[in-house]
Amino acid sequence: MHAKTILLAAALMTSASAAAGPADGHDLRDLRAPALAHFALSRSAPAADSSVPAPPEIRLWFTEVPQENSMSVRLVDGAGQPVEAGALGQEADDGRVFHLPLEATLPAGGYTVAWRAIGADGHVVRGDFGFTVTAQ
Amino acid sequence: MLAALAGWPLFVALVLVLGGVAARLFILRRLAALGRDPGDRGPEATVAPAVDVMAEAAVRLALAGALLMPLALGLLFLRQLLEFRDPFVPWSEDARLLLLGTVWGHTWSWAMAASAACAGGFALAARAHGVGTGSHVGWWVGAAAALALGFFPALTGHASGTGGIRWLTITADGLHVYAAGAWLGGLTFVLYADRRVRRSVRGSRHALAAARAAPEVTHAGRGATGAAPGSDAGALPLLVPLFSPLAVGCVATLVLTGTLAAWIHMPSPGAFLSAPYGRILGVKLLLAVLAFALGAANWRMLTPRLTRADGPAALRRIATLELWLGQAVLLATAALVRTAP
Repeated sequence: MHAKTILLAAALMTSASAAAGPADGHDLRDLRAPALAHFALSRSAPAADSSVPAPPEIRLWFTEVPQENSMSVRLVDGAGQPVEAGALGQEADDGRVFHLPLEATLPAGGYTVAWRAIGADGHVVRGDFGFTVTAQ
Repeated sequence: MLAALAGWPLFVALVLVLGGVAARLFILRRLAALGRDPGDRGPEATVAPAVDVMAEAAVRLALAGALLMPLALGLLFLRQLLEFRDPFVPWSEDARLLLLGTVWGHTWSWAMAASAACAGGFALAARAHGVGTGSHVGWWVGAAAALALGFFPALTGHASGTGGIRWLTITADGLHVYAAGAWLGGLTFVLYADRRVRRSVRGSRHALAAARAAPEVTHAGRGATGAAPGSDAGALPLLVPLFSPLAVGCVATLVLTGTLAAWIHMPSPGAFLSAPYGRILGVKLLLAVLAFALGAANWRMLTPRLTRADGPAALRRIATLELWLGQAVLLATAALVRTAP
């Protein structure tokens, strides 16, 4: 009975560890580095609080790759209405970068970009920032 | 604060199911072995009737946790959905995306299936009253599901967000949950089983006689074997000496895995004061140290006094206080896992 118990616990721990993935070559010096970095927006184009000509897309750079299918980006105009946009894309060579193509030229005015995603640690993280489109 | 409260029932449920499993694996197995071989102590000294009462208590405890589990997981899903909400799409679309499209949703679905297996297994074991194949299979299904559920917090929490060392942090976090469950759940079992044994006259009589006649068990810690007939010792002289070494092992595991997690997630010792995560961790540590101190007092000071008339009542009081402190630790943990380090 005791051996069965130990085997069961070992099998469960091994399967959970295997599901978590390999060590990816991290050494002890940077052991904590991934744990200390958390999902957040690092920069954007247009930049937060900037005034720019009508952009063809919204581009967002995050600190980590979010959980698959969890990212949502909305562009909202000054009246609080969502702006029509294309499908949200994720960079193939850098999963931390997302771009939202805009289907029409944005009229001058203030806009808000609202984003939301689930980080690798399961936390829902969301944020928003504003920018202004200047007259052409 | 409400978001943290929503996570607390999950830890309570885990403690109950893992406590029931730990009680059966580490306490009742040793007592049952004694019941199978009463030797020359005479039929009165057999521990079997008391063990039957205690085994039923362990299954009931685990079943209570298993029944709480779906409610706790439901609360977590509701909290996650509220946070995940996109105001420009229907609720149903968000719920479907969260459940079917994300790793968090897949893990949650897996946990719900495990909680159903856990509840079904322990219900079967409880219904069969500890007799026959149904009880045996039911108990093992419930126990396996409970052990799998012990990894749910790790797979959906900070331990998963550690990049290439997830294998280490998830294993350590799972062990942390196992140890917390065996400690607090085991203590809950001791108090609950003692209460049930005291209510069962036959079980109580046999427990006391067996405790006096089986020094190899009751001296496992600082056992008490000389409780006077008619005393209020209940099952404590049998259970406490077997629970104490388990609790010591659990506390050692909690300290080791907790220290590892703190080292990985805390940027510096100064974060104990400067960051919300550090402050909550500090509160959790303080509460845990107080609970450990009460456990140590029970083990080193009150267990040898079980022979005295006021000994059992004093141990029950302190153990109950330890249990409440343990619940406060779980509440602090629920807040901690919601806070970014």
